[in-house]
Formats: sequence, C-alpha cells, structure tokens
Amino acid sequence: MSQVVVNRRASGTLSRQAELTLGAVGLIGLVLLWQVASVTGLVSERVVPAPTDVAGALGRLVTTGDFWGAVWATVSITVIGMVVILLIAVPAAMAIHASRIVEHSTWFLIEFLKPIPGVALIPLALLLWGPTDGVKLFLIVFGSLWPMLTQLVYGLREIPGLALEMARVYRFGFWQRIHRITIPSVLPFTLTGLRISVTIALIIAIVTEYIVGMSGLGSLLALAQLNGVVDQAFALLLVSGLLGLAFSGAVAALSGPLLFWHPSQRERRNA
Amino acid sequence: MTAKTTLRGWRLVLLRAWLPVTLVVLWWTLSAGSEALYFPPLQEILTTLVDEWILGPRWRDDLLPSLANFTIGFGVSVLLGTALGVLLGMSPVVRALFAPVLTFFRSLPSPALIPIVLGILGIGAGMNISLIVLGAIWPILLNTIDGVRSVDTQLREMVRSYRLTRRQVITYVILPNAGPQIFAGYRISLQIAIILIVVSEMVGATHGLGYYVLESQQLFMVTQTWVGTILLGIIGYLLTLIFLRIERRVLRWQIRMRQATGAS
Amino acid sequence: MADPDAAGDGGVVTDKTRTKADGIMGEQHILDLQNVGKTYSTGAVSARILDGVEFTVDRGEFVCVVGPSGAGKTTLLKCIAGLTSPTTGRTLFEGEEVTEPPAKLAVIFQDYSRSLLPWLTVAKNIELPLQKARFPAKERPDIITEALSNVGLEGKGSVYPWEMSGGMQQRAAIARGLAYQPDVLLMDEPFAAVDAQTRIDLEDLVLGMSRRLGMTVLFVTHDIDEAVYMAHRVVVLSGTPAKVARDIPVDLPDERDQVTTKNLPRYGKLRAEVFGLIQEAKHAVTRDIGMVRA
Ligand SMILES: Nc1ncnc2c1ncn2[C@@H]1O[C@H](COP(=O)(O)OP(=O)(O)OP(=O)(O)O)[C@@H](O)[C@H]1O
Ligand SMILES: [Mg+2]
Repeated sequence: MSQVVVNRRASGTLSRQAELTLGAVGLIGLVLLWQVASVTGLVSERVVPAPTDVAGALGRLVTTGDFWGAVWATVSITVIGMVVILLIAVPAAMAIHASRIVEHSTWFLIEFLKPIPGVALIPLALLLWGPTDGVKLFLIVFGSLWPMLTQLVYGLREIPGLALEMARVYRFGFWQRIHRITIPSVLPFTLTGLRISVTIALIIAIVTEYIVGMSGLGSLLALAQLNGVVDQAFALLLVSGLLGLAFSGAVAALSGPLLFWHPSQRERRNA
Repeated sequence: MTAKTTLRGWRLVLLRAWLPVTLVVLWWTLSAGSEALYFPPLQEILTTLVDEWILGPRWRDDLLPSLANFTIGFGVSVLLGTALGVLLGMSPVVRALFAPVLTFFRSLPSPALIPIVLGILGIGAGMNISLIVLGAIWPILLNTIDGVRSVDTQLREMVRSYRLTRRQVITYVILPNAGPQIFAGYRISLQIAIILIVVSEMVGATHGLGYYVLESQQLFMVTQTWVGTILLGIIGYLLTLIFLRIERRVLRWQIRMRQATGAS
Repeated sequence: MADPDAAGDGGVVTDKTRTKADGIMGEQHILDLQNVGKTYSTGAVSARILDGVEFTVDRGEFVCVVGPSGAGKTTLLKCIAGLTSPTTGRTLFEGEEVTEPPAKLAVIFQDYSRSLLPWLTVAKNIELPLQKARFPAKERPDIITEALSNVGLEGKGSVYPWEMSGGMQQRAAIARGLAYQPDVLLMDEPFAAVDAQTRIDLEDLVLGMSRRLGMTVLFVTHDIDEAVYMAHRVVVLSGTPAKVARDIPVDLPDERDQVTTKNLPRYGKLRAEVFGLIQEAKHAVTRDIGMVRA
C-alpha cells in the first residue's frame, strides 16, 4: 500500500515521516487483527481477550489506588536501586582502574559474580532476611550492578591517551581533568551501563514482587493470574511495557543533552 | 600515568587467586561447626551438593532438564532472532511496520509475560522455553537489525557492482559485518535467558534447578537453599564462559584485526 | 613497468572488434553517455550535479576524467556503473542502456580499506565475485593466482587485507577487478590514498595491464600528471552543474614511461592545457557555489 513512499529511496532508508506512518499502520493493523481474531473466536477469549476488553480492564485498573501504589513501589525501588548501583560502581570502577592490585585481586570475584542471575538469590535472601524492601533492594543491586561496573571500567580504560597528554601539557588541575576529560569520555559508557542495568533491575523487581507477593507490579500480576482474570493480566503486561519504555526513554532523554558532542547524537540530529 | 607493565605467569595467578581463596577459606573455617540456623557449615553445603547433585539422581532429574530447556530456549532465540533480524534489517518497510511493536517488547520486563504464558501453556517445559524465547529474543533481533543496517555504503556499492547473489551478500557481507553487534545482542540475551530459566522454573515447573531452590526455601531446607543458589551461580558462570569461548572463535578475525591495527 | 610487446599497436585505439553487431547506432562505442544529468534531492533542497554530460569511450581506450573536487566525478562514475540512475539522459554499455551494474564491468573504489572485506582473506575477497556461470570452481584458483601475480602480490592470497600496507590493499582491490575479467574497468581516484612511490608503481601496473589485456578503462583522478600520463583522452568536467568542458586527445606515443613520456615537450603542453582548464573550472565552481532550491 505504501509502495509509492517506499521505492523512492533505493539505498534502503525511509523518510522519518514514512517510518512513523508505517509504524502507526503496523500497530493499528495488529490491534485490528487481534480484535477480529478474538471476535470471530479464532482465539479463545479465556486465553487471549479482545483488545477492547483489555482496554476496559486497564480503565478499571487505573482508577484504583492499589494500582498506582503498586506502580510507585516498583518505580521507586528501581530508581533507588540505580542510585545505589551508581554509588557502588563509581568508586569501585575507579579503584579497579587506579590500581592493578585491586584489578587483579577482584578479577575472579567479579567475573564469577557477574553472570549469576540475580533472581537465583531470591530464595536465599528471603530465608536470611525475610520479605522486606531492603531485600528487594539488595536483590536489584546485586543483580544489576555488573553491567554498570563493567561499562565504567571500560570507559575509564578508553579515555583517549591524547586527551590525557594534552591535559598534562596544559597543566590541568585534578578537578579540571575530571571535569573536562574523565567525565565526558566515561559518560557514554555510563549511559550504556545504565540502560542495561535498568532493564535487569526492573526484571528483578517484578520477579521478586511476583514470587514474594510484596507490593508492586509483580504482585498485581500474580494476583491477576491467581484470580484468572486474563484481561487484567494483559492490561498489566501493557503497563509493564510502558514502564520499561519510560525507563529506557528516560535514559535516552539523558543521552541527548549529556552526549551532544558524541557522534551518535550528531548523526541523529543530522538525520 | 606511565604505561602499566603487564603481569604474567605465577604472579598474575597469585594476585588473582588470593582474594577468592581467602574468602572461601574464611567461609569454611568460620562456618565450621556453625549452629546458626541460616548459616550451615560450608562443608555441609558442599557435601549435600555432591551427594544430591553428583552422586544422587538430581543431575539427571533436575539439572539436565533445566539445561535442555535453557539450550532450546536460548538456541531458538538466537536462530529466530538472527534470521528475523536479517530479514527486517534488509527490508525498511517491514521494519518500519513492526518498529513500535519491537520497541515495546524490547523494553518490556519479560516476567510480566508469566501469567499469560502460564495461562496458555500451563506448567511445564513448553512454558519455560516460551518464556525464555519471548524474553531473550528482542536484544538479538534489535542488535541484528542495527548490525545489518550498518553495512558501509562503499561496501554496498562494491557488492552491487560485482553483482553478488543474495545468498553471498548475506553470508559473506551482511552477517560477518554485523557479527560483533549480533554477538553483543547474544550476550545481553544470554543474561536474560539465564534469569528467565530460573524464574520460569520457580513459577512454572515441577522440577529443575529453579524449582529446587525455591522449594527448598519454602520448606525451610536451609542447606538445600544454599546448595541450589551456589549451583545456579556456578552454572550461570559456566554458561557465560562457554558463550565467550564461542564468541571469541567466531569473531576471531575481528580480534586479530584489532590487535594488528590497534583500532577498536 | 609497462609491458612493451603488449602495449605496441596491438590492442589499443586501433582495435575496434565488435562483440555484437546489432546495427543500432553508436554500437562501436563500448560506453556511450547521452545527455547525462543528475540531481540529488534531500527533502526540500535539491542540488544539480551533472547536466548534459556527453562523451563516448571506445573499446580498449584509456580515458581519464578530471575535474575539481566536488564537481561530480564520482556521481558520473556511479551513473555509468549502474549504481545510481541519471535523472536525465542515459548511459549505454555495449549499446544497451545501463539500469543495473552490467556483468562485464568492474569498479575500483577510491577507499580500498572500505571495499575489501576484512573478514575474508585476500584470495577469498578476489574469489567472491567470481560467479559459477562464468568461472567454474576448478578454474578459480588459477585465475586468483594469476591476478595476484599481475599486481605483484604473489603468495599473499592467505593474508587478511588489514595485514597489508595501504598500497598492497589497493593492489588487492585491483587484482579483484582484474580476476573478474571485465570489459570495462571504472576506477575512482584509486591512488589518492597511497604514497607517491607506490602511486607511480600502481600507475604503471594499471597502464600495463590495460594495454596487455586490451581492457577499456575509465579512470577518475584529480591529478593532472596522472591523467595525461596514462590516458588516450582526458575529459575535463567543469561548471555547476558539471558538463564536459573539453575532451582532449592525448597524442603521445602509446608506449608510456615515467621518465621519457614526462619529458616530452608535448606532455608539458598537454599538462598545461588541462591545468588551465581545471583552474578555470575551479573558479567557476567557487563562483556558482550554492544550492538550487527546489
Ligand atoms: N548521495 C548524495 N546525496 C546528495 N548529494 C550528494 C550525494 N553524493 C554526492 N553528492 C553531492 O554531489 C556533489 C558531487 O559529488 P561527487 O562525489 O560526485 O564529487 P567528486 O567530483 O567525486 O568529488 P571528489 O573529487 O572530492 O571525490 C557534491 O557536492 C556532493 O556533496
Ligand atoms: Mg569522488
């Protein structure tokens, strides 16, 4: 249908407008297809409810205080988790970068802890400390600290040597060096770390809530499942996705002003 | 600011080993004869681990199914994600059509799918595998799309002027060019897949490592909870190690090129 | 380095063998540019780069295209290669309109580091375009070996491009073009990124190869010495949009040599003529620079 828009460009890029139009078409088409499929009984209502039912369930959800309390619980713990992760990862990365002894001594420990799935600790942490917000925070921090730490160490290692030499030639002071060279060159890595960490943190938060039944999106999901209200489960899926989008959008929004000098941003602006 | 001399040989091994060894030894000695309910002696934990998981039947009844589900789930994510990624990467129209859906699922915290997948498939391997695929495929898909699109314009023109066939273009140009980025996607997906096999077994299985560990906790079997956690840690570590090995093999040319040219 | 016996009067201008004789006009030209014009448009802005470019190239001819930077030489080459289609007019290859890259045409790009595949060895890079129909699998090793030795890269087949120097990489790219056995070789400032000595070697190499194989070459360069030294004809592009300012036959002896040829008084005169034209063209460009709003 959009052949006309498309064939213009042989090189395989569409105009921004064409992309948005097609995206909207795809989205609307999918929802329509889904609606038709459930109205005609192609898929059972009890397994996959119609989009209209999901919208209804969503409407009922957002008018309850419980729902917003749950969203707030999940969001706040994730944000706090990110702050704690930064507070741990920044000094740790600096220590690892500054001292070879620290780097090698912690090497195995980090390489071993990094791939351990944070959720694996849920049962043990519950056993040791019970279902508290502190445990949830600990699980989030433990599970999603590593991407941030790895990226920070990378970033520090990749500071251009030329820039450091320049700083020496011009006799930059300590703070000047941090401010003008270290922070700008580590920032892109930090944002990459943040993006991965926040994804995993959200997963761990929801799983913990789901399994433990602590207030949050996860426990709402568990409740919907327990009561067999499928349309509500779908509505919650939608909400979780939007929440994830909001978090990644927030990281992207940070990248714009913070990385205005970075090639990736320049390209985006020129596109 | 002076260049660091690289450490080699036994000095490096020593430096890397002292902390983990010290920690384990400390744990061993401090916990020896421990009466604390939640901190059983390390010796007891390890004995249980060996008895139940190596000598006992658990490796067959719980570990193998877990690993099989994981392998199938991650394998399907890899194959499907890469194939669809190449397809979408090469076709701007289809990509634009699916862009909003892709963006949504990439950001979706995958455990939110549990009630729905569980509702459709019920408890069992099908649910475990589906959850892994539904959660782990997106980073692969999106990274592959990006990688496929990143073919240099001059390379593109070279390919066209020499009239390479579609198959040649995909196997010799597009895939190797996107390789590093595709593998970056695999790496993130691997992490998610490991999380999800544990989660899916905790909530939707009657055996497997994830089930074992949660069950042990709920039955207050403290030692078993420790055992399961440690085992999960070891397996996560080993899976990652194997993956990195494979990555290094496949991207050999790139690693060698980086060493040769100093480019990053 | 130019191969004397091959260069003689053998292949070159006199050789007008026709592969096809369908009698349509212009059939004696292997390349025929008819009123070629190209306008790039991005959003509301459109830039006219080429307008009414017309010239022909005969089989076995070595034609250099020169012009100031940004004149549209690469654009013209892409139109000829079928990598982009002209907005107006058309280009013919062996009498047929070019709509996609013709099978018997090869392009050697300016930036060698971006046109060789870093994940394949040199031999694999050369082999990749050799399709089954024209190059049976068992003939390929010989073709590759020969192409490599033609460019002085004997025994370098198993090496990766990034393990070689810039000049060697460019020679590998040329070897790939030669192994493909095209009727027409298009080269876009192929030596712009190599050092002076390598450049001289590569000039003689390409010159010798084209004479020996009777290959038609269209060679884009901004180096006047290079153009006059190598070409049978120099086509000067100028103006915004660019068109052919002058088509200068290089009436130097066919056998070229870096020392004797470049010391001929005629060479100096031709050089000066081309130089003057380019200077003029450059001023023209700076005068009319700017874009045309669509
Ligand atoms: N894809 C494109 N879209 C828009 N404009 C383009 C495109 N490619 C080239 N141009 C413009 O066309 C003009 C001619 O470009 P071209 O590359 O053909 O010049 P050139 O003669 O090869 O220059 P040089 O000697 O520097 O290689 C330039 O102004 C360039 O900006
Ligand atoms: Mg050019």
